[in-house]
Amino acid sequence: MGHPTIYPTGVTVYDPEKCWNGLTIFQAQEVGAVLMDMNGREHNVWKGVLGMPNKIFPGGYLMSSRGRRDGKFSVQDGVDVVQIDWEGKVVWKFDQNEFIEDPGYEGRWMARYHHDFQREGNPVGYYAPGMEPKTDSGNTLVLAHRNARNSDISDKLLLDDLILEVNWEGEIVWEWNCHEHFEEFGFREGPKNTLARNPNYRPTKPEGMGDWMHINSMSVLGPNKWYDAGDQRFHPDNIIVDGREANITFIIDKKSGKVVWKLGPDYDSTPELKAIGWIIGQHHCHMIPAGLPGAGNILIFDNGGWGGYDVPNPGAPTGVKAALRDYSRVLEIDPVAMKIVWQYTPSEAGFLFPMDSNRFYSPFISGMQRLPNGNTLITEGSDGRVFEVTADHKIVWEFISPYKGKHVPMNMTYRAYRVPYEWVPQVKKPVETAIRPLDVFSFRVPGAAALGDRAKEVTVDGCVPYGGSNALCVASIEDDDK
Amino acid sequence: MSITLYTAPDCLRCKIVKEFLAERGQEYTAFDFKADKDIFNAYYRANRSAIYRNPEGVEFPIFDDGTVIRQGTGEILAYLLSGRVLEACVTRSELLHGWISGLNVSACPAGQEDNFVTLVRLLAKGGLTVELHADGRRADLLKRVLDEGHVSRMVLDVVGPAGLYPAVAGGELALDDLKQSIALTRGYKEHLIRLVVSAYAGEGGALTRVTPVEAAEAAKMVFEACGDRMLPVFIEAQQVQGLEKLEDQALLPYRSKVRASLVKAEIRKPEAH
Repeated sequence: MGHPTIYPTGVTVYDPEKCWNGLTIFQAQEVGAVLMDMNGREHNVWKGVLGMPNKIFPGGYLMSSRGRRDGKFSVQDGVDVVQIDWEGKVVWKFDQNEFIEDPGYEGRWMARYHHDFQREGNPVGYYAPGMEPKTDSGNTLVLAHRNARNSDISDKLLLDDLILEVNWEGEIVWEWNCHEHFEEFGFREGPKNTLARNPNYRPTKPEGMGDWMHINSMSVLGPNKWYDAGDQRFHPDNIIVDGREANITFIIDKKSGKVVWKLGPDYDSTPELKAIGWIIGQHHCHMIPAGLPGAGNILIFDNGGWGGYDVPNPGAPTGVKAALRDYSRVLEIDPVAMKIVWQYTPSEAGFLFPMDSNRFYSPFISGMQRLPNGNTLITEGSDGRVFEVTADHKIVWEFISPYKGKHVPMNMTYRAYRVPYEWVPQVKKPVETAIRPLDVFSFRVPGAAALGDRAKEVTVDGCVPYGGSNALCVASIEDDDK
Repeated sequence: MSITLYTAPDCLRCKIVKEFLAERGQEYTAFDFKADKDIFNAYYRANRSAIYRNPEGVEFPIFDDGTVIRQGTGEILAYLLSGRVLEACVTRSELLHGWISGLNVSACPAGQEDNFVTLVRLLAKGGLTVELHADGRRADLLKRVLDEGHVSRMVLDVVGPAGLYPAVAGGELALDDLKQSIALTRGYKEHLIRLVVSAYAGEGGALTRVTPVEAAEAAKMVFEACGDRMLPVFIEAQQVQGLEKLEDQALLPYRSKVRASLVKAEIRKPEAH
C-alpha cells in the first residue's frame, strides 16, 4: 500500500455489526506490545517487549520476548520467550536454547527464538472454539536458531532454523533441525547451485552466515477433517512451517521429523501448482483451526516482493531472491485438492490489476487470522496496516499504526491478533462506536480548497469519450491473460 | 600350550602380535585366512560362536592357546602380559583403520600399572593410533601414560555422579582425581570429555541407566572439579542389550539437566564417531 505523505493513523474504518469484535494486540514499533479495542483505545501497553509476534492468552497474559541479540552476531535472535501478566510480571520464560558469549556482552542464555511460538492447548495461538492455550502448564513450541554446517547445502556457515518443544520448566524435550532435511524439500539443480554459492548470506561477526531457509511461521495442525478421514499427513501433532527464502511451505511429521506435505519451492511442476501461481516470500502459513470457518484449509500470506533461489536472472543477478512480484495475496488453500478456495488479492481489494496492484503489498512480515464469523483479520505488515475483511471482501475494520521507529523508520507491525473480550477479564467490555469511512473524494485537510471550489470550466469540442484500462501502459484487466 | 594365530594379509594388528611373541621367544603357528583358507574355515566353523565380527568382517588376529580365544591386538597383548588380570581395563576396540581403543586407564588393577603402560607403548610403537579412555579415577596412572606420549586421542568418560561410581565403574571416585583427570585431558591436543549415560546393574541386579537427575549431579560434580561452566562436554548413552536404545530426542532431558551446570553440553551425534 503506497501511503501519501499525509494519511490518517489509528482506526479508520469500523462497522461493529459486521466485525468480530474484540481486542487487538500488535507490536508498536520501538514502543512495545499494544492491546487496543475496536476504536483504537489502548487498554494496556507492555513497554519494551519485542514480540515477533505478540499473542494474548486467556487471563490477559501476553506472550512476547524481551529483546533481541545484537545483530552484529546473528540475525533476529530473540533473547527469550516470556509469558507476562497484566501488570508486567514475567510468569514463565524460556531462554535455555544456547549459552551465548558475544564480544562486549556478558555471557547469557538465549532462546534465539524468532518469528513464532505455540502453547499447548491451541494449535495456532489465536481464538478457536474450545481450544484455549494453557497458561499455567503445558509445553511450548518455539521457533529458534542454531548455527550449523552442512556441506550438502553450502560450505558457508548456516543460520539454521530449529523447532524446540519445551516443557513448563523450560527444558527442551523435542527438537527439529531444518538443515537435516535438505533433501526432502525438492530443490531443483539450478536453485541448489545458487544456494551453495550464496545461502542468503548475512555479514555477521566473527563469521558471516547464510539465513538459508528463514522459516517465519510455525504452528500445529490440531484436530482436522483430513486426518479424521484417514490422511496421516495431517496428524494433529504435525507442524506446518514456511520458509520465505525458499518459497516453500511444508508439514513436518512430529514423530519422524520427515516432510510429509509441501507447497513449493517450485510452482511449475503440476497443473495445480501452476493454477495457484508462485508463492513468494510468504508468511504465517497455518491450518485454520477446527471450529472456525474454512477449518482444515491453509492460510498463507503470499507477500510477493522477492524470494526463492533459482538461476540468475535480470531481477536477481546472483539467483538469490529470484522470484519477484510487486503485490501481495492472502490465499486460503485446500491442502488435499491443492486449490485456492478463497483469496484476498489486489483484485478483491478493488485495485486495477496489475497497474494498481501494489496498493495491497507488504514485501515482508504480515499474516492473517480467520475469525469465528468468517471474517479474516489481515496484517499488511510493512506499512503497519491491519484490517478485517468479510468473506465477500468488504473492509469492516481498518487500523494504521501510528508508531514509527527511530532505529527502523517504518510503522511496520509484524503480525496482529484479535482476541475475544473474555480472554482479557481486566478490560471492561468497551463501547463500540462505528467509524464510517471518510469520503476521501471530498475530504480536505485544513487550508486546502474544498471539493468543487473551481473558478472556471470549459468544454473542448472534438474530445472522444474516456476509454477502458487497455489504454494504459504494460497490461490491463481487459487483456486476454491466456 | 601351543599358540595358534589366525591372521589376514598385510595386517598391522597381526604383525604387532607376531613381533611381541617373537621378542618373548614364544613359539606359535600362524595361518592366513586367505592362503590357508581351508584350515581357517574349519576353525571358524568350529568356533563360530566365540569369534567376533566387527562391522567390516572377522577381527584379526585371532589368538587361540587351547584355553582361550582372544581377538583384537589390545586384548591379545593384555592376555599375554598379564593373563586375565587386565580384562577390566582392556576391552574390545570400537575403532578400525589404524586406530585402537578399548583401553581404560582408570580401571587398571593395582599392581598392573607397568603392564598397562607397556601395552600402550607396544600398540603405539607397532603403528596403531591409540585412543585412551579414563573415567576420572587413577589420575596418577593417567599422567604417567600420557607423559610417555603414545596416546593420540584422550577421552574422559564421566560415567555418573560419584555416588554411582562403585556400581557403574566398580570403584570409588576421588574428586581430586577427577579434577586432575579433567586438567590432563584438556591439556591434550585431541581430547573429548563425555558425560556417559551409563547402563549398570541396579538394585536386585536388574539393568538400569543413569537418570537425567543423576546426570545433572554428575555435571555439577564436573563443574565443581574444574570450575568452568563453559567446559565442552558431550552426552552419550551407553547402548546395551536388554535396555531400549537411548539416542537423539530421548537424550534431550539429559542435556537440559546437565546444562544447569555445564552450559555447553551437547548431545553427541552418531555421525561424530
